[in-house]
Amino acid sequence: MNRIALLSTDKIWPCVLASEYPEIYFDLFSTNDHRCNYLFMDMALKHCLYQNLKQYDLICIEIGPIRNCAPVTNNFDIKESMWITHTKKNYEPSKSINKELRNVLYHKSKVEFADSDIDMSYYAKLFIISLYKQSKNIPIKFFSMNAYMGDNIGIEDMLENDMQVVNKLKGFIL
Amino acid sequence: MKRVAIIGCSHSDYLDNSKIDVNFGLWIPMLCERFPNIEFHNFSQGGHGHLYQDMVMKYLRFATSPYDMYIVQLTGMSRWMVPIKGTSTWWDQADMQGAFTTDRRNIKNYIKYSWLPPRLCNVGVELPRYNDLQEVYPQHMNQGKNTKIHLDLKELENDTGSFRNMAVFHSYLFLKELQFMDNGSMPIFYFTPRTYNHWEEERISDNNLNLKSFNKWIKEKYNKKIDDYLDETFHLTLEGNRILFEEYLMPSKLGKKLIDLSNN
Repeated sequence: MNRIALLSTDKIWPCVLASEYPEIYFDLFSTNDHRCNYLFMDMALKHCLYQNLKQYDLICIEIGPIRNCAPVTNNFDIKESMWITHTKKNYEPSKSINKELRNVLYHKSKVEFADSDIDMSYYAKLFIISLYKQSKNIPIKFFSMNAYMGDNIGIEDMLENDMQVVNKLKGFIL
Repeated sequence: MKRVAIIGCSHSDYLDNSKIDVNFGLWIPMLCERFPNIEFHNFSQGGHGHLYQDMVMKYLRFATSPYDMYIVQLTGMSRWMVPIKGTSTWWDQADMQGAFTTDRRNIKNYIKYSWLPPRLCNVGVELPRYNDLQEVYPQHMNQGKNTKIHLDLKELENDTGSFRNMAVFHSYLFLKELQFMDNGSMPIFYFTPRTYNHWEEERISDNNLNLKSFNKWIKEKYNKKIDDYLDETFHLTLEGNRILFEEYLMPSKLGKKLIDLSNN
């Protein structure tokens, strides 16, 4: 494998995983706001599949809460990327890894939104169904943390900690 | 019978309802009349944006049997949609297909799909509560079903909303997905008849018909202001819809695909 995309909330597992495979390039798309999780993941996945033109050998997606959000006033040029790409020093979870990860690019969304505690579950269900269907043709592996929404890594339960995630995903990295 | 799915906003939200003063999307009955052996399933919803269209496209692509053709009428880029507080149950209980009500109206080869879960459309920042809305919008709160409320929480001008925000990025990514589907030989066609056209303003092609934006095209062809083809609601008049259907869509590859479907 040459390149892997990781779509995550701000957790440690992407950094642990990347540290174990220094020869593989990782693109990490993360949000620290769980409340827009599935919408963020949907937009990050669209970016990976249809916009950034990188060929990923594996896309790992952490599914979580299914709440919604609403855009707030910004003034971005949409032809620019919605992502801010930076290095480890700005990414809090990476500090738990006691070595520099030169094989990771961290992509943070720069868009802001108003969050809401209302579940938008119909959209989320469709997103999960779309992941199941697309994973037949695209190397997508998704799993649940915090709340079980589905997975295609054969556990049918949510993963409770970062090391569980790392150990499970290592089985899919050739 | 061949089936064609249509996704759009008010410009395609044909209701055929004599009780209302205006009727949008008059190109839709023209389409149905021209191709009587094709069944048109219209998922368009007035006031809704690309988040809704994205959701419907997910349903069409992944949760129901494939259609023979997909027509997407793009809309404003800054539109959004959120649930109303106190309505999570409806969003959660709605199964994939059961979340839509269907109505054939008065056209035998036409089915209008209306999505049920209560929601706000074109939302700015703050999310109101369901109980609050019951007081303000009692006519909309029909037992919590088939409820869509168009609510601008900010003073909006020209439907720009809080333009250049998350919704705009989502719209752009949705367009990228449509382009991917098109390149993957999926029979999908998109365009927009909107006269206030965010896509054109951003110099992004708003169609895959190899045509100029409709508002620019019609101005150049007829040397008239686009306003001449708009009604008081800023939607196309009957003549504007006729030009859209007969002269813009039918000669394009979208029209050729419909003819092909009709003949085979």
